[in-house]
Amino acid sequence: MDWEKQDNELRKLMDGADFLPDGERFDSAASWKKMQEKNKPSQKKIVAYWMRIGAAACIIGLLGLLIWRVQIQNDIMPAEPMVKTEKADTKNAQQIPSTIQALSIDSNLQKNASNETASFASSSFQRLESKQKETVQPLLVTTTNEMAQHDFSIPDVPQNTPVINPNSQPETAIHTDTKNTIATTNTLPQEPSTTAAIAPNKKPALRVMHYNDLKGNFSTPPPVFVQTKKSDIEWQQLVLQNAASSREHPLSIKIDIHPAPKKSL
Amino acid sequence: MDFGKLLVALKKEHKKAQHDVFAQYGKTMYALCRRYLSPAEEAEEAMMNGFLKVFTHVANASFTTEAAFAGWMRRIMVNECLQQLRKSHSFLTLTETSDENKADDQSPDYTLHAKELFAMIETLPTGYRTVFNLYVLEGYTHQEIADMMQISEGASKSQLSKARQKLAQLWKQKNAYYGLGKAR
Repeated sequence: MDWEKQDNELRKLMDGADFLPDGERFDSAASWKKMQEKNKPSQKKIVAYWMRIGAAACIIGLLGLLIWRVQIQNDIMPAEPMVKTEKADTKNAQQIPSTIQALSIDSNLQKNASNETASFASSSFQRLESKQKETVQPLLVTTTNEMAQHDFSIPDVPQNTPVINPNSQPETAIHTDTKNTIATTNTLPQEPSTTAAIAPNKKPALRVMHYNDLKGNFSTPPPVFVQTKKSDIEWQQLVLQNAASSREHPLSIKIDIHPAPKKSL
Repeated sequence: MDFGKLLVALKKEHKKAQHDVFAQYGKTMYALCRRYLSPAEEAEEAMMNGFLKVFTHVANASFTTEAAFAGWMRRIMVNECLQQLRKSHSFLTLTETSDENKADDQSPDYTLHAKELFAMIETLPTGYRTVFNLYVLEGYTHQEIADMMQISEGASKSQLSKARQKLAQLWKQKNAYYGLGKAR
C-alpha cells in the first residue's frame, strides 16, 4: 500500500477545506467581537499606566506648591517675637512708644554694636529724643504694702501697663491702685534705685520692672510700664543696642530671664 | 485589497486590515482548529489566540506571497491547538506498541468526500487524531511530531498506524451501512 500517495491525495483533498461538523456554523462577526473583548485588557493596562503617571504628577505638583508656600511664609514672617507682651487693659492703657517698651540692657549687646547700624542708631536716637520730650509717661505701677503711699493724681497715668526690668528682683506685688505704695527698682545695676516719690506737682518717673514680676503674680493687677529718666548717653546706648538687634526684628522685645541682683529700695 | 498593501497595513496594526484578514481566513483557521479540538469553544479559543499572535508578530515577519503568509498562519494555529491539547491531555501516555509498523493491506481508499473524512477524523481518539492531522494533513515528519508533542518518534508512528486502522474500520462500517463497495 502506497501510504505516501494516499496521504498526498488526502492532503490535497483537505487543503483549504473549511468543513465543520454537522449542525455547526462559524459566525465571523461574533468571533471578531469576542477577540476584541479578549484583547481589551491590554488597553486597560495602558489606561491604568497613564493614570498612575498622572496621579504621581499631581502629588509632586502639590508637594511643590506646599513647599513654595512655606518658603513664602518664611520670607514674610521669618521669626516670631521671643516674648509676647501682655497688653494692658485697653481702657486705661495709653500708647507708649514702642522703642521704649521693655528695653533690656544687655551688656553683651554693647559689644556687638557695629558700624553698619550707626545711621539707623542715629535716626532712632533722634526719634527717641523727640518722643521723650513730647510725652512723658509718668507711670508707676508696682506697689507693696511696705512702701510709702503716694498720691497719684495724675490724669494721664495709664494703669495696668506692663513693666519690665531685667535686672531687678521680683520683690513686691504689683497693682495699679493709685493709693498704694510704689515699688521701685533700678534699670541699671550701677545706679541706685530711684524712688517713686513724686511731688504732687511733678510727674513721676517711669520705672522698669523685671519680667519675673509679671509672671505668676495673679493676686495683684498687672504692672504698668515705668520709664526711668535716662541720660542722653544711656539712650544712645539703648538705641545702638536696639539697632544691633534690629536685623532680626526691629520691634522684638528681648527679656533677660536671668535673675537680677537684688537691689535695695 | 492588494496583499502587499494588506501586509503593510497589518504591520502598522490597522484595525481594518486585521478585520479583513480575519474575515478572509477565519473560517478556514477555525475548521483547522476544529480538527484538533473537539469542543467548539476550545477550537474557537485556540483560533482567537492564534490570530492575536499573528497580528502581534506579523511586524517581525516578511512574506513574498500570500500562500507563505497563509502557511505561517496555519503553523501558528497548529501550535495553539497543541498548546490547548497539552492543557487538557497528556501526550506522555502515548507509547509505542508492538504492531506500530504493521501495514494494513485492507486500508480504505481515501477517495471519498472531504466532509465525510472530516467527520470520521473527528471520531478518532485525541492522540490518534492529533498525530494523523500533523502527519497526513499538515505534512510534518515523525521527528517533528515527536518534538512538538514531546513524545518519542516510535510513539508517533504507533499512533499514526492505529489512526489509519481506525479510519479503515469506520470507512468499512460506513460503506457496509450504505451497501457500497470499497472504491467509489
